[in-house]
Amino acid sequence: MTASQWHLDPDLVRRYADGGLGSVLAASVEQHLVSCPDCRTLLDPHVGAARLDTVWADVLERVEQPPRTVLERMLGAIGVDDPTARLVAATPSLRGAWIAGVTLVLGLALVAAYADPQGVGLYLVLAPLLPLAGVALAYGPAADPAFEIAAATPYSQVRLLALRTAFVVTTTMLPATVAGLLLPGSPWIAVAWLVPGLALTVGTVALSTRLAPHLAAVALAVAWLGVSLRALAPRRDPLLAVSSPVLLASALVLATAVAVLVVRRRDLAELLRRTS
Amino acid sequence: MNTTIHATGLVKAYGRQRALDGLDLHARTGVTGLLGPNGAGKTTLLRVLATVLPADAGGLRMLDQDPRDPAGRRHIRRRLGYLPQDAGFHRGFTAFEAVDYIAVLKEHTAARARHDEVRRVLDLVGLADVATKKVRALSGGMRQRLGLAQALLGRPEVLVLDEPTVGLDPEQRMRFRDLVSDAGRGRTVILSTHQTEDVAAVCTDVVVVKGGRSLFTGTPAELAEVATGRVWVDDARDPRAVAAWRVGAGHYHHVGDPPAGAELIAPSIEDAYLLLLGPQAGEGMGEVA
Amino acid sequence: MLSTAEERHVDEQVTDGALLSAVAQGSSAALEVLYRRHASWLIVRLGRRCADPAVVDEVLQDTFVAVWKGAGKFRGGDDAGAWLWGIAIRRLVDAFRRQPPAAYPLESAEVLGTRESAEDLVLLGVEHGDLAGALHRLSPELRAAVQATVLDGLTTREASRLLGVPAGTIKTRMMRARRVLRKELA
Repeated sequence: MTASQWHLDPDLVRRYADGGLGSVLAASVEQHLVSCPDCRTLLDPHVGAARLDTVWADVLERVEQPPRTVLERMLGAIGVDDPTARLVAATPSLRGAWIAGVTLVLGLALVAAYADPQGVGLYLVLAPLLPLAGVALAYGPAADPAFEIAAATPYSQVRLLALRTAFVVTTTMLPATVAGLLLPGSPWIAVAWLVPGLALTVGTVALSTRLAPHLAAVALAVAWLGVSLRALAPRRDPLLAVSSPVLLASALVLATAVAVLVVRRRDLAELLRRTS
Repeated sequence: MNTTIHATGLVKAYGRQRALDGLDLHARTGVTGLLGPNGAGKTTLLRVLATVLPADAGGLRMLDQDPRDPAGRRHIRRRLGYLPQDAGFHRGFTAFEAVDYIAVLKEHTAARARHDEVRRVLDLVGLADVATKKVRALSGGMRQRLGLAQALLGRPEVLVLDEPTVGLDPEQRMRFRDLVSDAGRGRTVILSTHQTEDVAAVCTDVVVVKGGRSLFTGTPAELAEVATGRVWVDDARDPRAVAAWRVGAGHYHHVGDPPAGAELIAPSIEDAYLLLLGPQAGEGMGEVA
Repeated sequence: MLSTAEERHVDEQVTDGALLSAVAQGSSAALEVLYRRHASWLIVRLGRRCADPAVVDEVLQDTFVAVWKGAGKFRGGDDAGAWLWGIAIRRLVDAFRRQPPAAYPLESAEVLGTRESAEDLVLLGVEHGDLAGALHRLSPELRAAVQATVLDGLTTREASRLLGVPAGTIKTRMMRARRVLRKELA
C-alpha cells in the first residue's frame, strides 16, 4: 500500500475514538492508521494517561520478572509460597552443577556395585556424604556470594539455614535412595545409609554454631571416611560391616546433634553470627 | 543534631590483633566518610555497624536500639541498607532476581509490591534497562551499582557502604558520588574510602581512622583546617616534612612543620589527612620525606 | 538521565524497527517507547471490537508481552503498526476463546442513522475507490465479517471467535458479502 496523501482531521479522529463513526468510515480510518505514524498520535488525547500507565505497569511486571526457573515452578506446585521459593532457588548447591555431581557419584557407585560385590560398600560410604556436601555448599560465607548482604537483613539466618538444609536433604536423599534400590542385594541397603546420612547433615548444622559450615562439613566427612572405611576393610559383607557398629555410632551422633540444636536453639542466631 | 549512631570505645580483636581498639563514632543525618589507610579497621567497623559482626567490647546504639539484643538487632536491620566490600550475587541470577532475593530477605513478602520496589531501586541506580541481564554479564561498575540498589531497598534510614567507589572508572565514580549524595538526604550514610576526593565531594562529616581508633571527627572543612599553617611550597624538598611531593616544574608541596619564612598555602583535606596519619601515610604518594 | 523533552526528541528519531531490535536485546526502555507510541491507537481500535475495557486492557498487555518475547521476529522495516495490530487482534481472538464475549459490538441504530458526510465519502473514495460505497450498503453482520477477514486479516476460524458466531456462519456471510460486492462493483 502506498503512503496516503490525505490525513485524518481531529474531528474525524474524535468521532472514531468515541465510537460514533460508521464502520465503513471507521475501517478506512483504521486502514490509514496502520501505516501513518503521524495520525496515530492524534489518538493520544482520547485515551486516559492513567489507563495507559496501569497497563504499562502490568506489562513491566510480566516482562521484567523473568519466567520462574523450573525449580521455582516445582516448588510452587507443591505449595511453597513465592518468597520462600526464591530463597530456595538462591541456594548455591541446588544449581544444575550440583544435581549433575550427585547423579555422577551415584552412577559411579552403581557401576562399582555391579562390577564387584564389595562395590556396594562404595555406595554405603559415599551416599551419606552427599547431603553433607549439599548442606556445606548451601549456606555460609564460603558458599554463598550474597552471604554478607543476607547477614545484615532481618530474615532469620537460622531459618534460612534450616530451609536450605531441608531442601538439599530432600533433593539428595531421594535420588540416593532410588540408586540404593537399584543396587544388587538387599533393598535394606537403600535404607542403611539414611541414619549416617542424617547424622552427618544434622551434625554439620550443629557444628556450624562453632565452625564455619564448610569447615564443619569437612571435619565430619573426614571422621565418617575414617570410621566407615575401617569398618569395611576386614569384613566380607559390606552391608553387615557398615550396618551394626557404624549405624550405632551414627545414631549416637544424630541424637547428640539434635540434642545440641534443641538445647541451644535460642542462641543459634548468635552462634551462627560468630562463625560467619 | 539528630544523631543516629553512637559508638564509644568499640573493640574487636582477631586473635591478638585488634582491628578496633577503642574507636568512637557519632554519626548524624548526612554522609559521614570514614577515611583511613588499608587495615585501619574501616571494614571491621562497618561490619559491626551493619550488625553482621558483634563487637567484643564498647557501647553501640543505632537508631535508639542496642544491636547486641536480638530484638534491637532485628529492628536495626529493618531500617538498614548495607553494601559490603566485594558485594556478591548469584551469578546465574538476573539483576532483577538478585535484588529480588535480597528484597525477600528484607521482608518484602507481597510479590507485586516487592517487584515494584525492586524496579524502583534498579531505576534509581540507572540499571532498569539491564534488569533481565544475568549478573555475570554485568560490568564491574554495574555490579557495584547493583550492590547500591539492594542497599536502597525499603528506603532505609541508615546506609552502610564499604568502599563504594573502589573499582570504578573516573566517570562512574562521579555518577556514584551523585547517587550517594542523593541517598544522603534525610538519612544517615556511613561510607568508607581511602580517597580524599570522595570525602570532599560527598561527605558532610568525616572521621579519620587509623589503627582501630578515630584520630579526627568533624566536617571536611574542619579537617582541612587541621593543616592550617602547616602546608608550604618550596623549590627544594625539605627532608623534615611529614610528606612532600613534586608539583609543577621544580616545586615541592610540603606537609609538616614549616621552616621560618616558608611560603604557606591554603590546606586541603588531603594535606590534613597526611598530617594526621604521620610519616608512613605517604606510601603510594610518590616521593616521601 | 535525559530530560523528558530531550527523551521525546530522541525517541521520535528512532524507528520502530530499531526499537524492536533493542527490545530483542532485552531493553525494557525501548519497549516502553514503543508502547507509548502505539498503545493509544491500539486501545481504541481494540475497543471497537470488544465492549469490555478490562478485556481490552488485558489484550493490550498480552500484546506487548508478546512483543517482548517475539521482537526478534519483526521483519517489517521502519514502521511496526501493521505488525502490532496483527498481534493485538490475535490476542483479542485468544481472549474471546477463553471467555466468549456477550455480543460483538455491531453498530447501533443511532450510528447507522447518521449519514457520513459527502466530504468523508470523497476522502474514502480516494483511498478505496468504489469499495467504500459498496461496503456501506452491506448489512452490519456482513460488514463485520468482511472487516474481520479482509481488513483485519483473520482466518475464518479466528473471525468466528472474534464475532462470536460459528465458522460456518462466517463462511456463508462472506459468500453473501462477496456476491453483493461483486454486483455493486461490476
